[in-house]
Amino acid sequence: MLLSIVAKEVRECVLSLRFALAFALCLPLLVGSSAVLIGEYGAKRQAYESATSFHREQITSYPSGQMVYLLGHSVDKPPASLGALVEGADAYVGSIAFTSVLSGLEVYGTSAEHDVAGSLFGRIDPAGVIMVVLSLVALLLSYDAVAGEREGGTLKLCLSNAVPRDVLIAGKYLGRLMVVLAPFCVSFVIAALLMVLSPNIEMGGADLLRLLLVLVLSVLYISAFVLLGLLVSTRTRQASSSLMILLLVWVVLLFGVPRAAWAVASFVRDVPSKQKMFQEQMAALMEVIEEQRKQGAPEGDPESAEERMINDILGRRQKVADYHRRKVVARNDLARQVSLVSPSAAFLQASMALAETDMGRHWRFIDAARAYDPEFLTYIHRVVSEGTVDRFSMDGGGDWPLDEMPVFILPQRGLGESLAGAKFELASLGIWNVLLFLGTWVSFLRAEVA
Amino acid sequence: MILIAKELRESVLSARFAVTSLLCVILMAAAAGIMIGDLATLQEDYDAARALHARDMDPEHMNEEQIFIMGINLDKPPSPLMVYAAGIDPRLPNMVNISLLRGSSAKGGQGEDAGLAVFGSLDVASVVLLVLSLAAILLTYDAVAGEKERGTLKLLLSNAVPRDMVLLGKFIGRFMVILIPFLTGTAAAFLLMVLWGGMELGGAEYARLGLLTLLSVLYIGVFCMLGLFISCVTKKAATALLILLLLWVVGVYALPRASSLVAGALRPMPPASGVEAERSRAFLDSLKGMMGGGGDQDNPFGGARREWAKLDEYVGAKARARTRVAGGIARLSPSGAYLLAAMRLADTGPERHDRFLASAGKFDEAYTAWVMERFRNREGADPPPRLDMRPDRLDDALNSALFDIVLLAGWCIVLFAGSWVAMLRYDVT
Repeated sequence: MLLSIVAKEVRECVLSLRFALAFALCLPLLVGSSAVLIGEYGAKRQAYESATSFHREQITSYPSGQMVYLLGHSVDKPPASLGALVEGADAYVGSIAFTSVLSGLEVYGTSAEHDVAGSLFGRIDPAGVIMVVLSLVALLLSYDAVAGEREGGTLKLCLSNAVPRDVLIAGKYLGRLMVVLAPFCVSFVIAALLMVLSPNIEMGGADLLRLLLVLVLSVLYISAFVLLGLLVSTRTRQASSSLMILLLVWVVLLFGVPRAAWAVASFVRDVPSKQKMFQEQMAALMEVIEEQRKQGAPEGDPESAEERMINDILGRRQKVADYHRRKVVARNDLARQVSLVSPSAAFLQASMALAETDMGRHWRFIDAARAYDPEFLTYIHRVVSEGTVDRFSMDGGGDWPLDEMPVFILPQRGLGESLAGAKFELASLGIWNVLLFLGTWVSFLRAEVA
Repeated sequence: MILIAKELRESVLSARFAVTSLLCVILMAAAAGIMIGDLATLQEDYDAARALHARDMDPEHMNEEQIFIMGINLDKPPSPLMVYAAGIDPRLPNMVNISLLRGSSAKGGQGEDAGLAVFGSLDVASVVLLVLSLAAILLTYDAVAGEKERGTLKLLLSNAVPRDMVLLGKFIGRFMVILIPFLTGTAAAFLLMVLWGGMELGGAEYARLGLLTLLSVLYIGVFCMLGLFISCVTKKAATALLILLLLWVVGVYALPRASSLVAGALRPMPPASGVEAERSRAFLDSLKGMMGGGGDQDNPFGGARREWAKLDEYVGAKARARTRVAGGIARLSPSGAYLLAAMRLADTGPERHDRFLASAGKFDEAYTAWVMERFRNREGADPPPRLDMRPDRLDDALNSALFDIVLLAGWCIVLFAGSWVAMLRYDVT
């Protein structure tokens, strides 16, 4: 019986204008955005490769070995391979970590700085399309499931047969869900195929698994909105007022809650300004210089004294940066927790975590760049003390043994860790589904048919 | 008049009006409250930073480390009207560091608020952009098609009422209905700004707020017209609503956002590493020149800094070209035009940042000359130069926003003409 109800719901919807509209929205937006982003990924990859080789060879153009400390060195963050699916927070933060004695570790090259156009109206990616468009399509395809039949009188007719109410509502849910998933899955599979087949992106097995997890996550998210549509539909008399309420709820869940959550979090967890951080870092630098002046000439070998001083400066700067970072992370975590109330925010955060494009990647990049620093400095120190490169000469540094230079690698996070990072969001989506299903079930059992 | 009154009565008493207007007012007031809080933080940070940085510029405290290595910092004040339209300015760097050794570089900004950027900020303009446009659609989609379905349209037109009057009455009536929550929300937002915001609002700011309100009214008008138009060309209210929602998603969400992607593909930026390589080369040339005893010993890095300025100019021109293309594509949608005009009128668009950088550049020249003068002549009594960020003139802002305003008005006229024709030809039965 369930099957025939599902089949009836599917038939009814597939032939409607709404279904055509769902396809018309879903297919071009999902496939188009991923196609453009795949192209962009290729450009980013190229830029990353040329920047990496430039930054590795940069020190050979420095006039002397000692200058490396002063003029600094940079490492680059590779673009995330699933960025074409979920751009995430990663698209908004910098991709170059520059370290020198004078400036400490600085990350620059954010999208807002060099790409004002990209930040003017916000960006669009497949995950954003799922969040905004697919949730709307789910509501449009479910708002009249009960209220519409009640208005048309067919509900009464249907229930006058020996159809248990719970089977009927389960059938409606499954039928409508399948109808929404049809355009979604077709578009998603095309977008995923584009990504897998594109020569720009190298996808490993883990990436494919991540892709699949994002698909499952999206199904969970869409299902929550189908259930929401059913719930409101059982509780309203008219299909049009059901749609009205749903659209308002949709706006609040999508745009109101996540933004308000950020506002609440920044109100509760104060983050000191960047200017203050820069100032404190400069003060730390000055302190070390002052101390050196007071102490006079250091004892022992001047080179190790110099290295000590560099490490001292970098260490103090790092302390300031760490303090700032703790504040930012505390604020971000709170915002994430508050916005769990909205399935949309939960979906976006979870998909960023699964696609490895959340803020965690940014912090990991900074940590890796910091861990790389001592290795790099040891290398410089060794090369200079071996005399391969002149310490103070002004006419080109000499021959740098570039192949001995340590290689910067951004460690990848395991799939398990990504899942663990998204556990609250996944739980939130699961709870939403269960609660909405129970709510729909109960209110349909108690619903008046006439 | 009677028609308008009827439409008003009909809509105002409906449940959807109550829910929609409550939501609009709450969201607008909440947005204003949140943005006032944000602005207060930014303003505090700016004041604190400026006090700190003013000390750096004090001739008594200045030393060579400061001048050459650490540099001095210039701060960009937040625009008070970001409460209405946050724009892009808060996400761009908000200070410029100038040192003789490293040149000038922009820093700061809300880079690590990427979580916020993912969702976008909640300001008054974004509530108008998303929620009020949706409300306008919800209040107009059934204006004609709904009455036809119920049969009341036939009844109405069987009296001696010209169709164009009916249409006009419907438009004015529904438009006024949506303006009630909008104006209430605006009043609430303005009250918050004046009473609680601690914002220094002068006459020019009030004029800008007035213009922003007018702009929003125009934008809402476009969506009312769109609702009427679609309602006039469809037979069923449900179909009208579906088509309107499709147009809404494309116009409000997809098109403006896709514009930047398309612009990025059409106008690629020069690779960052190439620019960086050029900068590095220019710097090292100067450094070697200085160490080798050649070059301009007074201002050893003058050459490098001139080349850097040229590079910045080149990259900046490319970025501006890309922004222009993105704006052009986004303007196809009334939402894109609305956002651009709101940013311009609130002075939170990319123009503000360009102005800041330009004034920082001017300051840089004067400052370098001043420092050089001080090195040559220790007793130099000249006061240090000051950063003079040119305020945005109201007529400039209005001039550059005018195109978008005209565009929105054009949408209104075209859609009204369209609905007029469709209404005259409408099959009532």
